[in-house]
Amino acid sequence: MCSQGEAWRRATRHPFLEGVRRGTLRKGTFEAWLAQDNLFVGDLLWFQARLLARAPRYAQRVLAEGALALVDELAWFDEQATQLALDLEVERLPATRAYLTLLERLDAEPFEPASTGLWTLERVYLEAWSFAAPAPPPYDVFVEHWTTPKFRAYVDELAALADPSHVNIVAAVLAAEVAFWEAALA
Amino acid sequence: MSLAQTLWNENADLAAAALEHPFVLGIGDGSLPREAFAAYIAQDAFFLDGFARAYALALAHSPDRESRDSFAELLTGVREELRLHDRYAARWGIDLERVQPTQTTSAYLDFLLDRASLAGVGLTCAAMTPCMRLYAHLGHSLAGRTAEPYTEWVQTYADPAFRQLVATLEQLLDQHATDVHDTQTTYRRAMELELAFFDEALADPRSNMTTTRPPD
Repeated sequence: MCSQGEAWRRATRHPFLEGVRRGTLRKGTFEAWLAQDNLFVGDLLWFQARLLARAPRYAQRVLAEGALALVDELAWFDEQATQLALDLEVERLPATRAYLTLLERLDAEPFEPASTGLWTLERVYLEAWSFAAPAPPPYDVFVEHWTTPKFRAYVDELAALADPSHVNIVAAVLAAEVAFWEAALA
Repeated sequence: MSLAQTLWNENADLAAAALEHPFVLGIGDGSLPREAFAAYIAQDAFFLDGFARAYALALAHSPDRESRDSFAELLTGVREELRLHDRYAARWGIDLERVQPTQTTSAYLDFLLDRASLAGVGLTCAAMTPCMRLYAHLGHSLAGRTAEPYTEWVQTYADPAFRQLVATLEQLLDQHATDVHDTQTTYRRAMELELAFFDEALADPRSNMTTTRPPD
């Protein structure tokens, strides 16, 4: 993991996150990112539910709870979108499409590299939003939601299913994460 | 009439055969040998594990938000049923880690996971509904007139919460089934496999078991 330190840093301390923390994002930037993230969470649910379907018994509980949490997360996105009068019915941007392609690639991998990919992306999400905390309104609600102790405990549980020695998988996920933040600022 | 109700009616012969099956009659009056029940529970735990995997695939392949929410509810339900089986297994002295599926269980699981992997949400529902509907039917029919030691098993499937899960799955079937002929074929095949499951539980209990001891 140390050799990938720079890649982790770029994925979890991106200027987009800095902008959230400082409240300096241009109007509409966060909202556009949120709509893409909503699409990503739907794609992730597809990947994770299929991973659950082929998981060994010891991994089923955490993956099932995680998949059900993604279903709740999508409902939460809908609520937030209603409050912000935000349209979630958007097309995937190229970075979101590329991430889906990566998830499809992970879906074809054996269980352990695939679950390593899942752990990597959730770990990035947790670290990234922890970096953005504390954030001013209206971002505070989101940043708090993505840095709860419950989410941290989940990421720790996923770590038990992961093997970071799958360096190519970890690197591919980190690159997709950076591209996803980049797209938000483009 | 809904498609799910039509399918159930079309398979009334197999539902009646299940209710009159010696295994089910033995559950009802308590005369079923405990070895046979333990062997059945062991295989059923294996089957339910596959059933939960099929729900996970259906969740992954849900085309809309309502279906997604419904399959999430069903996945939660089957995971609760799996926990119940763990408790049963412990009480009946079955080591689920050591249970191997019989040919009948494997055939049923292959059929189920084949539909769930390849055939779309409609046929996945057609493959899964018979098990749920049949067990709700058996639970409802036997409730209140069963003898120990099987009353708890019957009560699980007579529970209104279980009937609600059946209704949810049947609504999904109605919503997503497209090819009526394939749906009918898949539904009936699942009903036949349910009967085969009972047949096997009576056939040679000891061949299906790993370790058992009498329940406490």
